[in-house]
Amino acid sequence: MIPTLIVAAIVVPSVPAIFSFAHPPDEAGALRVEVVGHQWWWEFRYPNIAPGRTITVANDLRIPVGRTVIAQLTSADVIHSFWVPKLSGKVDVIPGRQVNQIWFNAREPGEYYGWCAEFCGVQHAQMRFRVTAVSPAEFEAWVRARLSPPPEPKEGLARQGFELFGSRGCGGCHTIEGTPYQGKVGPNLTNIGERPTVGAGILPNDPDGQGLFRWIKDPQAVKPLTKMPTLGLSDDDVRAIVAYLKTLR
Amino acid sequence: MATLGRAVGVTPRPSFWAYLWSWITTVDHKRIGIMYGVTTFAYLIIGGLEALLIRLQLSRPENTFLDPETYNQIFTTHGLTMIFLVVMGFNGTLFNLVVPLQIGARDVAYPRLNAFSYWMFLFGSLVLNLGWLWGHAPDVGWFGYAPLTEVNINPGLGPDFYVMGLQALGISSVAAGLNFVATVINHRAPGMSLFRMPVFTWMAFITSFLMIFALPVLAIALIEVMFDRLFGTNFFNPAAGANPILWQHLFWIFGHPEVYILVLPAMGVISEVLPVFSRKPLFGYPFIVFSGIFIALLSYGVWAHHMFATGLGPVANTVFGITTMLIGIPTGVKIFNWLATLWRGELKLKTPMLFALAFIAVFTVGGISGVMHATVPSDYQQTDTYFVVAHFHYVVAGIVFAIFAGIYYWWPKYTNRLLDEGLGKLHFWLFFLGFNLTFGPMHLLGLWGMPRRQYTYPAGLGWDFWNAFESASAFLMALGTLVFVINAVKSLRSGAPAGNDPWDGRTLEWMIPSPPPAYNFAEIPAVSHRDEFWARKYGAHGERAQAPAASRRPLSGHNPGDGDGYASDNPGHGDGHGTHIHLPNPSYYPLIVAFGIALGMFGAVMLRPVEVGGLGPLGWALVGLGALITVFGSYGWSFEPAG
Repeated sequence: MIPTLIVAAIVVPSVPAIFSFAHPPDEAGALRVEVVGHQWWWEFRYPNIAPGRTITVANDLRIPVGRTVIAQLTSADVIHSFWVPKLSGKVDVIPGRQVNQIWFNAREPGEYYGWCAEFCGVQHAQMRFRVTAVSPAEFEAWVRARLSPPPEPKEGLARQGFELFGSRGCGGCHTIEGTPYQGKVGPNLTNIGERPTVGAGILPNDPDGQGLFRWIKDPQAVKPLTKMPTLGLSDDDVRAIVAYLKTLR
Repeated sequence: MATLGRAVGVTPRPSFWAYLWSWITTVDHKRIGIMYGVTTFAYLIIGGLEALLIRLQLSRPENTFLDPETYNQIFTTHGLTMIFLVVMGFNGTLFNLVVPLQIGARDVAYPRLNAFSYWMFLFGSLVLNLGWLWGHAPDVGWFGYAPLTEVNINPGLGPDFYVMGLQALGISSVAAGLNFVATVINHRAPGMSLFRMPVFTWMAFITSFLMIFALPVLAIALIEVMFDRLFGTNFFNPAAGANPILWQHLFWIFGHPEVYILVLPAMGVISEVLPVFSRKPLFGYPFIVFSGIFIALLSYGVWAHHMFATGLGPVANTVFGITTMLIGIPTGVKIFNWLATLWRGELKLKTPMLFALAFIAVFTVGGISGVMHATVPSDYQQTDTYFVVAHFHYVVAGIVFAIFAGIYYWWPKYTNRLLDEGLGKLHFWLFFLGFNLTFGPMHLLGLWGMPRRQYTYPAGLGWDFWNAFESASAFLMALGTLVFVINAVKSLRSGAPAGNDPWDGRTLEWMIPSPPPAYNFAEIPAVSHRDEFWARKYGAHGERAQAPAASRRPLSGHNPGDGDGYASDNPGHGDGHGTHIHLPNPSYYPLIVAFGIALGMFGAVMLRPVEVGGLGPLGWALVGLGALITVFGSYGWSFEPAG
């Protein structure tokens, strides 16, 4: 008898909560994004953010404070799970026909940690991301900036890096908009210069480029078995590529 | 046909090889139970060492003690070992050692099938672990979520060993389940109606049904993965249009009953130990039995609570949330009945009792966090964090308390030696403290957002201290287990003689000599009470007040108070003392059949290409050889005189 009452007392209030979680508030005014899980990084897309335009970024989701965000979740390979502990619960990211949805709403500006929460293979532990919540005005400015690709460097170390990016094969996997580099295997790097982290939330993208340097020099040492190969680039080449990537913001 | 004379061995002392052969060919449930026990304990040590490696890796952030591939293999095999080889292995151990004695039987219904279950268990456990030799132990988690097990995503041999090892273990479990159902139904002593059965036997009976109906679901799912990997089918390949969530449904339709396969026998052990050490009958016997049945039935209707985050939708989540909560009711009933058993009892805090009480405590904690998971909105945060790791260790690792309670309780029956109480209490406190200090803080880490199944974590998120603390505490459990090993060795060498009934027991197994003779009962007892032995010692209504110690009757005596017509009521039973007890012949065919099946399954793993460590088409030779051996063994088995 007593166990029955205890259970009833827990069940009854939980049911409305289940249904309220299923339906996002303010569906009409929500920001819609698409999340694609990859082994072991995150692709974020803003479809139709301007008429006919889609912004694609990776591992750093920029959102406006106070506006509901509705994310459609799909996977390119295995099951992942999208989780930003301070913003919402988690919803699995499933390959194939099932498209899941999650919604959340950042009340405070700032950087929120995100994790893959479903075991997805060797580097499950290092499939992290950030959600950066900014004011609506900042967000609008960011979107406008993203709609025009950063200019191609004309001279100096950055120019050298731009060319190495092609000759060393980086462009075969990575896309940088406004350039001939249109690879679709790895993350889109068009705004890599402004992202807070490198390697799916695991190294800081610090101003002096140390994080990027370590990553490009030997990704297999930083994140064993990541799909990005260690190319054996010289330190000078890596420095040039870092200088180029730092201009992408 | 073996006779008693042969079984007790009036011939000269046999050689070591003859002795070994007698174990290999044994069909005696007691020897099979001991083999299960030794195997299982070895795996407890292995699984425990794996746990220590995991804790060493997690003892500090960004640790490089283990590389991610090794870590993933270790956390996978730790789970597989502890669930399928340790807790299920102890089921096999205790079912064999205890059930036939508790129901007054001479053996199980199918003694050779029983030997087969053991050998299949042993060989299956080897197939599951052989991957270590190839550097490809299973690395997909014990849950093996598709499509991580698909061959294009995970080309190594790990998932193949996972699939074939679990398949082999499943065969063992289904055979054991069928055997114990048949045993309990057919081999109870005269007068032992179902509701006079000891509760451990009841729980073994229910668990056997669970095994029969749950493991085939896993078998189907595993066959589908095997076909995907070996023969190019697309059951779980999303690129070909499959929905990989199907695997999760199949796995958890097996997986949740599996949880009760693990825990019901533990509840049975507790229900035996508490009354004996409280000197009171079990409070609410029918409630405990029926809540066990209710839990078993419900367990098939709650699987999707493992999948709240997979996007089943609010209706399904609500339904499964509610069915899951319902399990809290019979579980709560059991806990209240156990507490009522203790109430005003004459408690004797011997080691088995300490472990039993600790089981109730940790199981209650695990049950409460289970209800928290069943609360769907809360589960969206908790699932896949260390909160879940804390929860299921309080439940499943908590079962180890019941296992130790059972070991300390029944050890004297099989060795005629007592385990040392001082060392036992030291073992208990080390293990109990270590357990809570290791798994307790995991609740905090989970609520602070630490995800599970991660080989590394960043510094500076407030997780560092508690992880280091847990890693240190885990060694207390290891130390406790070491004390147990010392205690066991000491007991076997120089333990105090236990006698037939060291605890003043209530059930039939305490009536017969320690260790039990090959035939268990010289005369099959007729049963007229729930706690038959207690009733014989103290009278039908033998409560404490009516049964001062001075009035205890000799063990062999029939109680005139209730034994009216005890023997004459049951003509035809009790073949008479001595010469006419029929025991089954020893047989090596069960071993051969189990070996053939396991070899064929290993051959199926070896069908994988040479580049990944397999043999390619040559694997068919192993499959064929295994099949031939299986056919040969089954043929011999069929035509062997049963004895």
